[in-house]
Amino acid sequence: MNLRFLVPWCAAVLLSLVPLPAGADSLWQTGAILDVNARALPGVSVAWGADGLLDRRLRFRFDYVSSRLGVLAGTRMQSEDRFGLHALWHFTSWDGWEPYAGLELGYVRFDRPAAAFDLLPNSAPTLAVRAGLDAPLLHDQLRLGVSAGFHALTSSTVYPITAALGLAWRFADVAPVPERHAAEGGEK
Amino acid sequence: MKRLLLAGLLVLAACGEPEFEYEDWWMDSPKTQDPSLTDPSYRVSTRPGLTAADRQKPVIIAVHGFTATTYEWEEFRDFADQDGRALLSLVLLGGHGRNVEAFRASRWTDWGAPILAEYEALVKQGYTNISLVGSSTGGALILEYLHQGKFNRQPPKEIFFIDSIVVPGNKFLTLSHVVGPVLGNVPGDGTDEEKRHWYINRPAEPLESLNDLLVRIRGELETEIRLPAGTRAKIYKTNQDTSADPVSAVLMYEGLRQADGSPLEVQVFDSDLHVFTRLKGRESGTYDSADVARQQATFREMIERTLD
Repeated sequence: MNLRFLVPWCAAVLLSLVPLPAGADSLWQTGAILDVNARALPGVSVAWGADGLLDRRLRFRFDYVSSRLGVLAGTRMQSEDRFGLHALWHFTSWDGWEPYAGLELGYVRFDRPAAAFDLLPNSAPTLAVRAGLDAPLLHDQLRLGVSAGFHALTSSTVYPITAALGLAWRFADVAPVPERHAAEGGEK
Repeated sequence: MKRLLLAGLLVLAACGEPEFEYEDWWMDSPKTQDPSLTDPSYRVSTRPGLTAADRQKPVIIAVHGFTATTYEWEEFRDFADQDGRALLSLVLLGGHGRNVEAFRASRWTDWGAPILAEYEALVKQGYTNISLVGSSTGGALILEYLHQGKFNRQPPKEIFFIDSIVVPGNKFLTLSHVVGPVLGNVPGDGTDEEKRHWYINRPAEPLESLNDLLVRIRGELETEIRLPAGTRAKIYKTNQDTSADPVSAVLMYEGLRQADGSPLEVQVFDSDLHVFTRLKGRESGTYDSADVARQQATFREMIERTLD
């Protein structure tokens, strides 16, 4: 990986420090992600889960990764955006370590750098199954995540296997799923 | 436990020697070889009977793609012979044009060696107007050698990229190191004429090596490859190519720059052909008069650019 990718990655981490509403029964987190396929794309994500939604086991996440920061940092990557909407099932955690798996619906597009490329299709939907693991840092306010996705629908720029590295901040004052149940005396 | 053992044995069996099926008249067979291996006239550096006037003409080194042979550029050579203003040197990539076992044992470094050998030989013989044209993987190899500065000593006049591959059409090539050893061989298909001149069996090893080359080039393009001073280049690409993803041309346009940093010329065609400059041997009905006109116009343009 080109060292110049560190600049956009750090910028994405800063961008992800966005305060979100911390509802009493919901969990919000924002984060910075790095899609570490053959080409590393930094970006941001927002995730949400609620007590009323299967005890926060089912969570939704929206990702946006882009090469634009990398282009600004001086690489010759094509300018590309990827959007992903995830429905993720979080399994029982161990000491805050949460494995998860789910589906990702995506949309990718890239800029055509010259009029000569107008004949090329430059956007496509994607579909992937994704599995990952979140680990707690700093008393669970910070979450480190790794995930891998297998794309059943690929596109010009999306290959079958993608991997992501994430750093997320939790904004709600709630414990992970099993611990919260234990505190309330509920069944796991 | 027995099931686990059986599964393990199956995996081991799958990872064993692949079986290649072919007929004697296929390029995969040791009984069929590319004519350039025995006919020295295919390469300009070894072509007999060239006059002093011929040696003043521009030379275009034509480099074919993955699994192909010099056959891929024979139409351009015939066009140039008839035109009379330039000489075509048809280079056979290492590991190609022999038999599938030789192909299996080869890697991209072997494939590209004859390009450099011919270039060096022409420079040594005093040719001063040398250009290159690469189709598909041939273009990828030229990109890699540009990155390595292999043509800097005497920069080429022109470089033409014909449907060059940087991103594969089939994205599962990126998993070749994982699935390749299990599959062993990924046979393709073709017309009888194509079976005479292309490898139909595609062993895992060269597929993995092709993926290695493409990953390497994508990284190099992201950090920029510059043409040597005095060299011009043009990218030609069809927009529905299923072998070399059309986005390859976008990556090349972004990452390959002229010596002064300006972008290259690019031309995109509305066509589903891969290597649109080769029409010979294709199944009838897979190309039309527009493809023929496009091929001829491109041949003419390439020759004329070397004369400027």
